[in-house]
Parts: sequence; structure tokens; C-alpha cells
Amino acid sequence: MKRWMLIFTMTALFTQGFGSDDINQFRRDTDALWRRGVGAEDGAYTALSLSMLGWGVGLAAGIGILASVLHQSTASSHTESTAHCCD
Amino acid sequence: MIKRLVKNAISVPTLVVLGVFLFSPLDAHEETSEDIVQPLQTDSTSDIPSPPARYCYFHPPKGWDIVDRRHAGPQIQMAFIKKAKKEGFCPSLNLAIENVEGTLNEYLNDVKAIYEQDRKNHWRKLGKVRTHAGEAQLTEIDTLSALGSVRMLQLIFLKEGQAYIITAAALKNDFCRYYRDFQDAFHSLTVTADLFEAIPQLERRTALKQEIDKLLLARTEEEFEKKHLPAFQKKLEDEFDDMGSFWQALVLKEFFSDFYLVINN
Repeated sequence: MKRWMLIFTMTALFTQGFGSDDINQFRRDTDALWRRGVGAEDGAYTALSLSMLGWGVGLAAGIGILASVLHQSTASSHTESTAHCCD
Repeated sequence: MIKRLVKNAISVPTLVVLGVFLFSPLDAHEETSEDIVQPLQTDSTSDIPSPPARYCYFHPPKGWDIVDRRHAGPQIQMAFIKKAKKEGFCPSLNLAIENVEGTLNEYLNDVKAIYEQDRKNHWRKLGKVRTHAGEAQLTEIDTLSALGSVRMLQLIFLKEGQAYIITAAALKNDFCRYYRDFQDAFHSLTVTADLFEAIPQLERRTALKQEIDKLLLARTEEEFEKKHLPAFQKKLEDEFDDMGSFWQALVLKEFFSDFYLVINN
């Protein structure tokens, strides 16, 4: 009985160890594949939506480029601290 | 019978092995941060690239406006638009940065697959374009919109695990009018570790660095935000007009984000 228990435990131990490694690798690969191309997709989506909105788009005018920069600074600091969407 | 089984089973070696089984593998994985794989996040901001170690910019055409960042997607670093005199489709340009693994061809195949999911899109590879950053791939996407047929040119440049993508869009009928502007923007794509390095004249480079150093010392002053910073911005716009508004915005961002953090602290 003890022997069986030992065999079972050792098998489970190794299976779990190797299994989780495989899953982690698989998830890593899948995530990389899933995400690849989002930059281009986002670029096209933004280009199209901005061009369509045209006059309705808020510009960083008035105080020139500073407004845009200010927003980017705040947005990036928000992202770092809370990982929340502000767009 | 059961008592005997339990007694036999729960002996000291068995408990030791069980203890190892229950705690060791999980703890080992929790402790090695490299092994932790983040779950696929659905939040779109999770894809926001961390501030790049390198700077990337292009020269937008004169008179084009910078778009408020809130109107751009999460991967977009900067977007520009040419406001038309009447309402309608306005041509635009933007730069996206994405962390990627793999080759340019693999990336292009993935991009193609994404666009071809929508039957309205027609994607094709055009050719190579020589930019300041290096040789990049030009692609074209034709699609339909409520305002008419749209043509987008996408320039893709891969360097050290990052894809830099400039997207230019205009109505297909108007495309010839903006083609030169788009080409100039593409050719001017620059990836650099030092923003000041791009300034061709040493004197101007030094003067700007000195100006920034002076401003950094003055940033605790009350009138800094109302007086010094707008004055610096004006100077940047007037004296560094040749560097383009994208570069100017990057200099301000580099400088101003630092100031912003100081204020908040």
C-alpha cells in the first residue's frame, strides 16, 4: 500500500511540474501570436476613425502641442500606477 | 480493516512525500517571477507599450494638427490630422509602436491575416522604402467607409523587438494630393536613443540642452508652468521648426513628464 502511495505521489509530483511548464510555454506562445499585429491594426483603426471624425476631433490646439503632451504624461502615469484605461 | 489501512498509509515517510507534493511545485513556481505568465488581458490598455527606450518620430506635413491623445488607440504614440476646409474625411497620419517577436515577414503575415478577416479590406504588400531609421516595408489597405473608399498606406519597420508603424489615410480619390506628404513622412521615420542627436548643428544642440537645464532648475518656481514652460515651447516651435512638431512634442514630453511627476510628488 505504502509503495503504491509513494509511486502515485511521485508520479503526480512530476506530472504537475512538467505539465505546468508546458502550459506556461503554450500560453506564452499563444499570447505572443495573439498580440502580434495589434500595432498595425490599431494604426489603421485610429487613422480611419480620426479621418472619419474629421472636424469633430479634439485637437491639441490653443496651447499648441502642450495639451497633447500633458495628456500623454498623465495618461502614462495613470497606466503605470493603476493599469486603467483612460482613453 | 479501514483502520489498518489508514494506519499503514499515514506513516511518517508518506506524510513527508505528501508534504513535498502539496507545497513544493506550487511554491517553486510562485517564487520564480520569470515563470509567471500573465493571463491574456482583455483590457485594451494592457497593450500600451511601456515608454520606449528609443525615441521614434517622423516629420508630419506642415500645418497638420496633433490630435488629442484621447482620440487615438492604445498603441498610438502620436497622431496628426489635416483639417479640411469643409466637413468630411480628413487625411491623417499616426505612429504606433508594438513589441514583437519574430521576423518582418512573420509580422506581415499576421497583419495580413488581421485585415483579411474583413472582406471590405484589400491588403497588399507594396515594396521597400528607405527611411532615416532603415529599410521599411510599405503596405496598402483599401477599405470602404461611410464617406467613400479609403486608402491607407502603412509603413512597417522592425528593429530590436519593436515594430514601428506609420499609417497614412486619405480618401482614395484624394490620395494623389497627399501622396507626397505621406512619402516625406515615411522617409523621415527616425529611431534614436538621443533626441538631441537629431539636431544637425552642434551649437543649436548645445543651446537647447542648456535651455532645458536652466528650465529644470526653475521648475519649482511658481510661474514656471504659466510663464517659463510656454516660453520654452514657443522657442521650440520657432527655433526648431525644421525638426517638426512630432520631435518638438517628444522633447516637451520628455521634459514635461518629469515636471509633472515632480509636481505630484
